[in-house]
Amino acid sequence: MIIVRKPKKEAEVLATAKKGADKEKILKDMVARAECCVDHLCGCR
Amino acid sequence: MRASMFNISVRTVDGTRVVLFNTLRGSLCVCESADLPMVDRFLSEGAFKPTSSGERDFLDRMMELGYAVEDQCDEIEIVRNRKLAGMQDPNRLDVIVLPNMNCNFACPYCYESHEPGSAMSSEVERRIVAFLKAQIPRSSVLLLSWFGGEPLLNHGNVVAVSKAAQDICRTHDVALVGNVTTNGYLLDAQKARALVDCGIYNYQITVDGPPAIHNRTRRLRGGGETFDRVFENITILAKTDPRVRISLRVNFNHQNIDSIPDLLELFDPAICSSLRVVFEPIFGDHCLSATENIEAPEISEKLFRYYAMARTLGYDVTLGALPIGQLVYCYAERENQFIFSHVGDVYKCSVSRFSPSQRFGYLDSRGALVRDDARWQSWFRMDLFEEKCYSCQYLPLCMGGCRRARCEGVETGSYCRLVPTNASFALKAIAFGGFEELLCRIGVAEESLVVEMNSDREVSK
Repeated sequence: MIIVRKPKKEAEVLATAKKGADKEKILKDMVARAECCVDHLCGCR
Repeated sequence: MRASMFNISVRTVDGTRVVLFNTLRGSLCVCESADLPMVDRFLSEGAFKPTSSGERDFLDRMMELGYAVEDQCDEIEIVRNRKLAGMQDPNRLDVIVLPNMNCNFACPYCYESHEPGSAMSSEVERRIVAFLKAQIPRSSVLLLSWFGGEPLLNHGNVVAVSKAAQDICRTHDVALVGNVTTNGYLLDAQKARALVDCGIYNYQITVDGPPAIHNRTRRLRGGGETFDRVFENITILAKTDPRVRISLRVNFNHQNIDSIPDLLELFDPAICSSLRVVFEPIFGDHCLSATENIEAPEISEKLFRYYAMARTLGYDVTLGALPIGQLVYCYAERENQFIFSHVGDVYKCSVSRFSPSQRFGYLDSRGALVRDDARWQSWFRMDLFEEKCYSCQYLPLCMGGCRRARCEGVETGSYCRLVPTNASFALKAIAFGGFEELLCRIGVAEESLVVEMNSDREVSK
């Protein structure tokens, strides 16, 4: 079995939405999870 | 133990391997021939009763990777918690400002009703700055986005408010992310410099194809072609500052999707790394809608091919077909997100006609938000998901579809077609193509990319 990506922990998923989250992590997360509303193929993600 | 409800799989063309993806956890693995009988059994029966140490090890691995879950695990509750966390995120302040409802373009697919001559007054500008002054200190990050109409018809408003926001953010150690969505026609060197100087590094400019195609849809209101000037301005903007990032957006439907490769060939390779290509389906009226006129698998197949081509040409490309850990469907689901119109009215969704009867509130003379409670409640108090979403294995990727569409007609939008085909194409590309190239395109972050475990082959970025 070739593991390409391990499961993400729930704490990681929710980390940047917690009060007082690290600003740099929020910025990084915003780039990773941009919220374009039409198509998930959007390159801004 | 039982199988996760969010597993999706695809078999390689020779049938010897299966790619497994879990939409909730983001686990991605490739099961090879020795494992296939167990994989097939797992996918059809769920967590079967193991009769050998090999089967037990396999099920343990499925559990470890999130493809299997404990019996008491409520996966839907996990998705609901994500949605609520995203909606109530206290760290981000998302502000979109429309300095006018006017536009110098007359694109046939535009959903807005333009008001020639409309412009933001200095009084509304003052109220918005007062709002920002009160709200920015409560946040960690301000996303300040300019939209319209065509925002650069009111370049002065954009610069004045952005400069004020930049100063407030600096005072309170809050990060500022500035964006402008513009048709690019007015964005000359001087304006580009002024915008960059007040912290706006992110731009979205639409080009609908090579000149002959673009000039059919992206024409001036009074008539006239726009390609040459927009093309030149994009080049100037990209060279203004190394921090500038431009989303080069192509709105496509059946009339122009095949011209995208010709457009990609036109830009100077020296600026391609500053251009992030974004292909967006035109929605709305039947005769213009991409998804009404092109089958979803055809869209997915072509877009994957074009994104691959763009990457080869040096454009900035990150595919989002397998997004992990989405919290909300779009920014409009966040409680701390506001759209301010040029008259100081407040809205939630940017795909709107912005008529006063649809507003969610307004900014009073002190810059305080006066909410229309009934409208606000109806937007936020609806069920988190539609009934059909609760049994959809793609739910963690899309988080429920368009809230506005749901409010208006209990529809979740074109997502129900595009998310599955996009995810399927990403998985098939993994199954049929090379790993490294695809992993770069789907944007697997360095830290989450894992070297394979029980094989002598390595997957690395």
